[in-house]
Amino acid sequence: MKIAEAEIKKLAQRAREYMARLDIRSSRFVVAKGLKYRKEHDGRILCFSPVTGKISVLNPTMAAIYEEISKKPGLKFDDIVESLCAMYPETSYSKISHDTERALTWLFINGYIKLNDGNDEEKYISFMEAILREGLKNEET
Amino acid sequence: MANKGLLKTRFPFYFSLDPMGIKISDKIHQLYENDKGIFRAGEIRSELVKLFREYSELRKMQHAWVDNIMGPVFAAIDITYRCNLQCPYCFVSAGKRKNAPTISKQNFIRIVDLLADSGTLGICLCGGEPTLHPDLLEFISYAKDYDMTVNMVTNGTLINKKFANRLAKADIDLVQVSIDGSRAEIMDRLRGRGTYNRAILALQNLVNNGIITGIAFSATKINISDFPNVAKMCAEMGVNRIRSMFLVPENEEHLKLIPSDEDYKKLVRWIQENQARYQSWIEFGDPTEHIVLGEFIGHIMISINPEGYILPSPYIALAYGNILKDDWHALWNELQCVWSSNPVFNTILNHLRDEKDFLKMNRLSLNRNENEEILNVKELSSKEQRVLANQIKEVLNYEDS
Repeated sequence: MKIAEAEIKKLAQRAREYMARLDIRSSRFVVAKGLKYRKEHDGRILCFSPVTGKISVLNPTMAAIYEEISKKPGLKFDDIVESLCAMYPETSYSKISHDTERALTWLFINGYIKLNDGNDEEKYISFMEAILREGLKNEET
Repeated sequence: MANKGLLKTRFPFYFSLDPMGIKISDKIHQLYENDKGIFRAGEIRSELVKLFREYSELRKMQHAWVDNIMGPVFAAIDITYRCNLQCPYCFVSAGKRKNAPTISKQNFIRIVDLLADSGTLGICLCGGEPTLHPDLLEFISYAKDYDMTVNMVTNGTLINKKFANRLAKADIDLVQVSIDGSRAEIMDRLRGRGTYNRAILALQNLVNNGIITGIAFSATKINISDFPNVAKMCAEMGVNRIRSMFLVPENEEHLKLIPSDEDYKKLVRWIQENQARYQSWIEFGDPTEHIVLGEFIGHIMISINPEGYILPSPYIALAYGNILKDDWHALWNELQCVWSSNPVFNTILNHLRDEKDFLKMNRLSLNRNENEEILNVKELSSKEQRVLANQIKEVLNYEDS
């Protein structure tokens, strides 16, 4: 088997294991450093990573979540849901809560935000760091 | 070391890590499986376009695609076509020009002001050789004041310790140096005596000053088998990005330098099998991709020449408008759909198959040699554009008949 493919499979397995345990609702969030972004006139956010060259677009709801975290580093899930409920009063709490969980998971996996999952009180980690930590744990056991 | 994320695709820049993004990128990866001998966008045009259409439509429904945006995300600005080297494969013939255009400070500032106003997040200072421009450091600082990412592409021969330190102080984000061999006898044969040692020294100076670095490896018949050595050497030096791509010929002579497809395949396979070993990001590019996929991504990045002309593709001497002369916001609206709606660019999009086709455009004098004035398609009448489109179609399909 090619080395790169073997590595990718191993990474994917670690990612699945980590995601199965991840509790977004109990986490705190900060935005990832080094990303450049701009807000479009219609509320979308266009993001560019100078390191990887990756360009992506957040829809206005994702953009609102990202901006909220950007303004208030260390924000908790409940705080984000609360501010979105104020922004969209016509939408039910349960829908906003469900959609926020999905949005935060997406933002985390795609490298926009880092989270503190309770493993280390001080440390915010990226998805890739979380997977590497998962690998180290596997090696230890 | 595994540092490449989970996407295997050649298009990691546009797809998100979500079920749809992974599904589409996996399908694209399958199209490019090197064992099938396919590795040019033009060879799988219809399949690629279909997949990009499917993905972009979905993202548009989610209101998360790069359509109708304020301005380009990134702009490459050729600040001068002067060069201190005469590399045989330079696609702008820099170095051979006696009267190479160079951007003025006033025009650079105006361009950056306009780009910043439309939200551009980064620029790349290109050429020619940008380190020959006397205002280079001031240009970097000016763009950085807008919080733009500022990269530079250079042959490195003029970057000594002092200059690297000044680049670091100007807070440049990334410098890409051309390295075409792992030994002087290989690279100097292509770029001239002494170029290897000076370029390697430049890389060392840049790395020592904490600047993120990349290298561009121009693959030719002479050096292509040396790529693994170059990648290994640069990775060990701490270079962050290592890139090669299909050689773009500018004249008939260059055809003699083009590696065989078998050699290209070996290079691509080596990257696939070995990139996980290195911390550096190693990639191989196709200079026709931004054209084949122009209707989806062609507007994300633009090139601007020293006179302010907008080049929808850096490899084709056709401009569409001039940022210094036209109403920029109106021009940007046209540029966003230039590959799909303009007959000239749409013809190129539909008929260009591989990097050798850029050379065919020269039969219409569409190159950037000295004394060739750039053709501004925007200034042509509808009739003239249709005539030019037909000529391009004919010349690009010539060998088919």
